[in-house]
Amino acid sequence: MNGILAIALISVRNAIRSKIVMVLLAFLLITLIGLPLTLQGDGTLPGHVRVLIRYTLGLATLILSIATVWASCAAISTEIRDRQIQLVVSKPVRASQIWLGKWLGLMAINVLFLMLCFVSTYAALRGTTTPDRWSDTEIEQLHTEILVAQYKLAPQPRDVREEVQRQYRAARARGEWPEEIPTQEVLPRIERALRTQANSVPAGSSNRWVFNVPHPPPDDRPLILRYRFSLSVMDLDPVSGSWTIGSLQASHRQVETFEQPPRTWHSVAISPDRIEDDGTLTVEFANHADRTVTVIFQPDEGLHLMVYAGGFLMNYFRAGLLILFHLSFLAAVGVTAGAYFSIPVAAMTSFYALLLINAARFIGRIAEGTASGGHGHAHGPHGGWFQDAIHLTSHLVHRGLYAVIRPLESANPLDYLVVGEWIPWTEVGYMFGVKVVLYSGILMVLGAWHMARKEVALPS
Amino acid sequence: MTPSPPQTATTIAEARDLVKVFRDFWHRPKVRAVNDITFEVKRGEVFGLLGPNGSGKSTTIKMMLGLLHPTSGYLRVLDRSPDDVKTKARVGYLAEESYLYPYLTSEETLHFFGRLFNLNAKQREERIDQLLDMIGLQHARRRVVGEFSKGMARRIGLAQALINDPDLIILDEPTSGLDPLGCRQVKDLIRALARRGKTVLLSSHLLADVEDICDRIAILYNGRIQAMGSMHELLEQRNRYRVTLPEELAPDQLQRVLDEIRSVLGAEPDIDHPRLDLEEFFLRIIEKARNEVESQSGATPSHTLASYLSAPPS
Ligand SMILES: Nc1ncnc2c1ncn2[C@@H]1O[C@H](COP(=O)(O)OP(=O)(O)OP(=O)(O)O)[C@@H](O)[C@H]1O
Ligand SMILES: [Mg+2]
Repeated sequence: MNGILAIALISVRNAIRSKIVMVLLAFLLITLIGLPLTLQGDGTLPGHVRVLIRYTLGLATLILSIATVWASCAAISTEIRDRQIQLVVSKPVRASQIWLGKWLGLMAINVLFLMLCFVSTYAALRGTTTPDRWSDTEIEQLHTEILVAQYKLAPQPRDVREEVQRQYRAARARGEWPEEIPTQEVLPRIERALRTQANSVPAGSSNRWVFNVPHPPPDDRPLILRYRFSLSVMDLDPVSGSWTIGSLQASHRQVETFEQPPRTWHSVAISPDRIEDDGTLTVEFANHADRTVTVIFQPDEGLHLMVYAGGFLMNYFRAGLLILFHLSFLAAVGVTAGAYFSIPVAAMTSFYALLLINAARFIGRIAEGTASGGHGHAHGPHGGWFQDAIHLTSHLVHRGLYAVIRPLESANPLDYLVVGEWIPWTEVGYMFGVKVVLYSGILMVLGAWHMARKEVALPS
Repeated sequence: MTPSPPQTATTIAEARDLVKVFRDFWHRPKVRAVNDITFEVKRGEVFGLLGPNGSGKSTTIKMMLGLLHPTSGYLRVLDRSPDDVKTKARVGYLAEESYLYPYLTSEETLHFFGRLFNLNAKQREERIDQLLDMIGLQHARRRVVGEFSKGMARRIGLAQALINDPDLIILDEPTSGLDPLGCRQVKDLIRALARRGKTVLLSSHLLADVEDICDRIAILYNGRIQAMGSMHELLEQRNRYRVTLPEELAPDQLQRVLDEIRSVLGAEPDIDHPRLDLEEFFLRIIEKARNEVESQSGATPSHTLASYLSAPPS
């Protein structure tokens, strides 16, 4: 323990002495102080706060990530280069203790700087959202829509199975689909069309959605209906319409009329007492357009309900934890890379690994693609098996790679914050398990195993 | 003659048929730095590896510390593999150059290594204080080692090698970079450690150093041991004699002695005046100067062995 601590302290001092790390940290300070003063946003208060969180914190964490990768790659590799490692290894410390000491030192720096980022951004947030600069309604809106933690509910999916079957039989009867096209290809198309239809509201008509609200918020916390629609025509002119909220029989239902442009987010605050006793909330949209235009809500994202779940600060804290876990993973990648390679090579390797992780979804798609497209027989008798072998190898490589990086895929925590969305503790726990315990642990084993085998008196 | 059983009780380190081949990037053999050497270091002795530059001394030492792995052969240190942390806990090592963190002060450096040996704060404080006294850098305890002269850094290196009160002390060219005063002090220190029953293995190419302090030596050349044995065995010339006459001999008495020798030998003997060796002469001059002014900079050792350095259990 004593040894790990000593190595951690050295790793802190090494990082702080690195010129590149110092320059990056200077950028970090400039970002934290300069950006909040200069950023404008779209002129609205929520816009201002979103820009503050997304750009200031986003840029700060990016800088911190780069500094972490560099400092961690340097941690062991420079000691091998400058030979101090020879004295350290001749003392009774295990390779895993050296690894852990280096990693803990870097994490201590990260905790410190991440705290600085989050505290200073929060201070900027408080300092720029004062009543003398913004109207009361804007501040009210800020506190109900962004500076909270809400969970997101999608409307109950409509059961379209019967309707799909009915339409399918009718279409076949009319001979609309040629016999060669199999049933399992036709059904999803009909279903997709039906779902889009269920989210479309032609001019002069209306459509209704039902939300299940399992945990209603306290009485003073409104529910927020967020929506974004597109139009069946190419222009961006505002459309007039209305929302009717609450059951249609209820005497005290809420009606909101508006005239709004497509393709931007809008929201309606809803009082919690509109929720029925059975926990459902019904909303109905009526299209009042005086032209023939259909309003279309995107099936998976276009319409949802935000329900109060807790305060902003705790959510902000959880976002910080998620970023810290990511930095911990980066530090682990760098320390291990530095145990194998000299700095420039280690840094290149680490950045390449991070690139791959960011391309996870893409790699996943390649893996699927090579699986289905792997049996082209159009290449003649000689190229055939060779082509197949290449396809198979490529498929296996991509599959393997995807299996390794898939668990690391995660949403950017700042994306939650800018819409005031609740970050579940389960997500925090899962990411701790994956990034800190599992992946950093595996990297530690790889790094320590190599160091224990390596002849440290030889150059890397 | 019956083969003697392995003398583990008194053998501190043992190498048999040890070979180290350095390879290039493509894994092709490049240098056979250590070529089939066999030796044994016994408890309480000062064992010297003597040899010209590039003869394989540092390579042998690094294998004994687990910093390099032997290509083939058998190597045990303190009855265990050199890689074992239990071995490392009982070994002190001074590297060929001082690989210290340049931004740490003397004190911080020693605390760092003390922590690696898992010494608690109180033990570290005590030992560091005594060690700094011993190596004469008490006045530089808050200066960063990066700005030290080579000899001062070497002294810190020596202090860190002793901080764990080791049973086996491995010193790679302990006197390199030291002034004659420092050389003498280190040599005295090594003798004092040996008197306390510590085992010392050192390497050097300075014959005078080795001659003064080693009990046994191995002479390495080209990775092979060319000669090995106790200093006495190797250097004594049994068929030659030196006669030292008392200082207050009058010229006519000397004449009579010489005449007698001539008549016995029937030939002229070699005669010259005894000289101080330069080291001894230099030390006398410095000692004299030191008595006149107290030095302000550099190293001013206390001439006392750190008292915590214990005799190892027998
Ligand atoms: N890392 C290495 N890679 C390749 N060859 C090496 C390496 N280290 C040492 N050698 C070679 O091994 C041989 C022995 O070197 P070593 O350092 O053991 O000599 P030495 O006896 O300690 O010399 P010196 O008195 O100069 O310190 C030399 O020929 C040297 O070039
Ligand atoms: Mg050497």
